[in-house]
Amino acid sequence: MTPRAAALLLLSACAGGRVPPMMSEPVLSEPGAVAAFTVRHPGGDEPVSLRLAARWEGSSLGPAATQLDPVSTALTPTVLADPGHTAWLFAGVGVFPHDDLGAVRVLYHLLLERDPSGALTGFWHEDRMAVPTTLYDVVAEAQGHALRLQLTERVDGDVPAQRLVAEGLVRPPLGP
Amino acid sequence: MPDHVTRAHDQRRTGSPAAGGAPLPQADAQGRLGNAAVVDLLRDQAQSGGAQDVDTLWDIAAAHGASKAPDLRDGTRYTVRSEDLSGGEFGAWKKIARDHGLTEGLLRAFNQHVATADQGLGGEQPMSAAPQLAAGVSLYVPSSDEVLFKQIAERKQGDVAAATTEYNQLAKGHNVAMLRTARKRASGDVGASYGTAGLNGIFYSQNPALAGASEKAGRSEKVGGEKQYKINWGPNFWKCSVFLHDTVYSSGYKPDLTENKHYRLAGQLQWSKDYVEVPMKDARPGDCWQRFGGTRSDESHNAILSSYVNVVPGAAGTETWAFSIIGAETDRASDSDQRYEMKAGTNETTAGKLVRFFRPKARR
Repeated sequence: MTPRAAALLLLSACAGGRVPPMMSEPVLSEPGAVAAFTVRHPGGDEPVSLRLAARWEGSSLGPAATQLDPVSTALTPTVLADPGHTAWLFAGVGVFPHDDLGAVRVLYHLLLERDPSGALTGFWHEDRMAVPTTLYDVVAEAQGHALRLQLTERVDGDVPAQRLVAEGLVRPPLGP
Repeated sequence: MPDHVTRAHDQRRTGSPAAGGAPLPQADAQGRLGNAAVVDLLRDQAQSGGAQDVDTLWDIAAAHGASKAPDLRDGTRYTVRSEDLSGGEFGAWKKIARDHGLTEGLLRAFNQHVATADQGLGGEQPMSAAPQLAAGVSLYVPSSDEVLFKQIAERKQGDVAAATTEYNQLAKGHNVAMLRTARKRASGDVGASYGTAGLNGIFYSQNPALAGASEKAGRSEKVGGEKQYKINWGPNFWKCSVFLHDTVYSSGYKPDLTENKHYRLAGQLQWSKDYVEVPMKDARPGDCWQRFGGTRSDESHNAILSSYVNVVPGAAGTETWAFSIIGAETDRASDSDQRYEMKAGTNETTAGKLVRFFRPKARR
């Protein structure tokens, strides 16, 4: 395929609303890549912007219990050597208005792992200035730049688990 | 009638030395001031509704079978320090009140010997009159028992017999113990440790089962004569649920401890196996209060209810719920007044938040 033909194919795919799947791996691997999500929930959509903080080739994510500090319940990202797997850590901060306090901050983390079959799984962590913090299991689907996350809250006791969907795009860093 | 109540009662009949302004020995003063302050308030209540003096009130109480006056713990004296006044006199009332887990209004109500306490000087003043709040002025910090009895007496419109009966009922259950503990844990350094930043990064708890509680040297200390674990769950997190469950624990009841040795968060008590929900009309001071802010909201909150819920009908299908709570706030734990506009007949605010009340189920 000539360079011109490849460019036309790419333009055609973009015009049709699809990005060639081959683009997802290089972009997701880009140092400093940005992931912009919208978390859908009954209270309204919640925008969450994350930046790629770390990437581990040949590693998978440790079990959920290893991802949180047992005392503070802060995120302690843990990966295990695992050839054929790749793991990523995205991080971000949100600030939201609050009736009593003016504003509150939320720290978001997304840990993603791709296994040799291409399946994407991981954890979504939220520190909403409360302890214990909240950890969700993640099942993800990637289609080019697009990422769709199904989040299931890990709960204790009889508390019903929140099930959420986060939809977003992963793209190279915004300008300088 | 407990000895100190009898003594206060008799001193009022005969005209006590304190009423004349002569100083009493400290022990005597500590033994009578609290109930004297309550009696003053009862008298004010009665005077506004029936012009009965305090002796008549107690006589009425005895005639109605309330011969045993409630056994109220006395409050404490506090001497105003110059550093309390750094924000001016107005700020000092608030600061001293919050440092003791009280609302400013309650501190003023029990310190009518200070002319600037709003209601002015009137009646017998068991403490030396002062024209304003200044360094060296003595204040009376009422006990939670006294505050509760004041609230009950107000609800009963000065009927001391009825107030005594209700107080004694609350004392049999968890309510009085929870209020005493909430006030204690909202006071001083322990109260300051429940601020968002903690006290030097830690909060105090008496619960040895909490994550981070340790018997190692330096990981606990005596505060106010009681052992407190110094627990560090990281900087800057809201501790309202920690304060609530710690109060339940230290009152002798079972808090909701999760599998990872943390406490059930605010907004989730309705799913707890350790608490039972009670309707608003049955909520009493010393019960637990919760506001659920909504799915993924950061505006859920919980605390110890420190008053009755006063319901005032509003316009267009609304009503206002007014009450006070002792709970963890941004800077420390303290008492605060709350007002919610509700959809009438529901527990939902007009802003869509859910207000609930709970009681602990069992002793630990």
